[in-house]
Amino acid sequence: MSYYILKTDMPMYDLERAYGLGLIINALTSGTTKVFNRGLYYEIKDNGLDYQIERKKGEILSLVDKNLEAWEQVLLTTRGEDRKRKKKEKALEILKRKVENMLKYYDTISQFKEEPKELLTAPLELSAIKGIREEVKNRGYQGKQIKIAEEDWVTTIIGALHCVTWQYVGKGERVAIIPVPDEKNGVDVSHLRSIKEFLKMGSNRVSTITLIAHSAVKLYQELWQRRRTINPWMDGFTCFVYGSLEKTGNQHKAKSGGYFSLEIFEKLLEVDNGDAILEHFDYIFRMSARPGEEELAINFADFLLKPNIENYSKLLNVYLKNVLKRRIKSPKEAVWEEIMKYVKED
Amino acid sequence: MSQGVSLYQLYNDEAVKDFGECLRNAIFKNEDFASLTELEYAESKEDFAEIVKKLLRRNYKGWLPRESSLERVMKLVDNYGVRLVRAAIISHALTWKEEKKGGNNA
Repeated sequence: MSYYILKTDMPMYDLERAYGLGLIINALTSGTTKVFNRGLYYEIKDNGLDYQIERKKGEILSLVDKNLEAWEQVLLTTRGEDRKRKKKEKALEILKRKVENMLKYYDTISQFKEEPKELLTAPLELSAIKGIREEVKNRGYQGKQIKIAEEDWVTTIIGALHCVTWQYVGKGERVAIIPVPDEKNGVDVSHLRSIKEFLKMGSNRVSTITLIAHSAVKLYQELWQRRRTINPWMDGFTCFVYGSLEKTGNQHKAKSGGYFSLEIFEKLLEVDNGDAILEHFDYIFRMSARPGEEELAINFADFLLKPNIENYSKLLNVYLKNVLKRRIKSPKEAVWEEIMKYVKED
Repeated sequence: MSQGVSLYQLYNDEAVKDFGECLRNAIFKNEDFASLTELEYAESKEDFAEIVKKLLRRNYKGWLPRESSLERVMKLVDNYGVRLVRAAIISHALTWKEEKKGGNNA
């Protein structure tokens, strides 16, 4: 059986719904559930086993357990303990009431099937902060609040609770990272919680991009190992969707956001010495996290994001200077040769 | 890459390897950092040729590339541009060659 999430141009919201629905379906069956990226929509595919809604209800409801640590991030912009508690209870109540309808709701590719009732908040989708504008009479345009259907809201909450990695950079900037599945392999949703933990291991906090790049290295170090086990993980990703929120006074505002391509990392998964290369990437990020060596971290992250000759030349110069100052070791030739294979002209 | 050649292919060209070893030797044994800096800022073929001359003069006691390698490297610059050839040469200076244990490595 397949279910569909039509994309809306709000990438965090779309991914959270896809993963959230994937986790619900995975809880209903005993087999594998995968999320695939089909361009205009995400497809959630189960293994065709029967659903056991009544028997598995407890497991499904535990997806929005009020004690989950991630609620703190999900309700970051909700003020007051009472309102936070009410939102948690509401998510549980909607899930209890609508879990069966939910499957029907998502079994066709269409949008706006139910009346939008719930507010899409910033931690769930960064562009929800004045990202969509509406015309105001005689006053130009102003940010508009986005409302979504209850079904979409609860799947988004589940996705945000279990699949979004939040980390800190600098003074109070919070960065959210979500991996985007590819079309060929997709992502097994039972791996999503582990993937979230692997991403948290990225520790280079020189800038938002260095943290994301280091998180990608840590994730792919694990994926490389897991692809070579008896029961291999075959998950494939195209990029990360990331966004950051910064506290300004009493409010959190969106600071930056975008996509981080994982093209190099996906290629390294197939390479025999991929582990040695990723180990070296990790070494560079660990060494360049020290004060005074930020330039190397930034140049290396830029290169991983866009591996063209210009970024490669910049990286080369900074790297060599660090080697000459004996701050970092030279890379082994086999490792560096592999990196050079991915350098594009522009 | 320029006219169908990749950085990786250039890196594995014998003349680039030869020249890269020379640069590595100049930097790590003779502390000729001036040549490296000049090379980083070379933009035209003429700049590149001038830097090659200086590098060879400064490192007269050091290891020198073969004449055929010099000719070949200049031809590569003609065909693929300074940026790509320079990156391939400096890459040789950066990497750690396992067969030369200890050697020049930082």
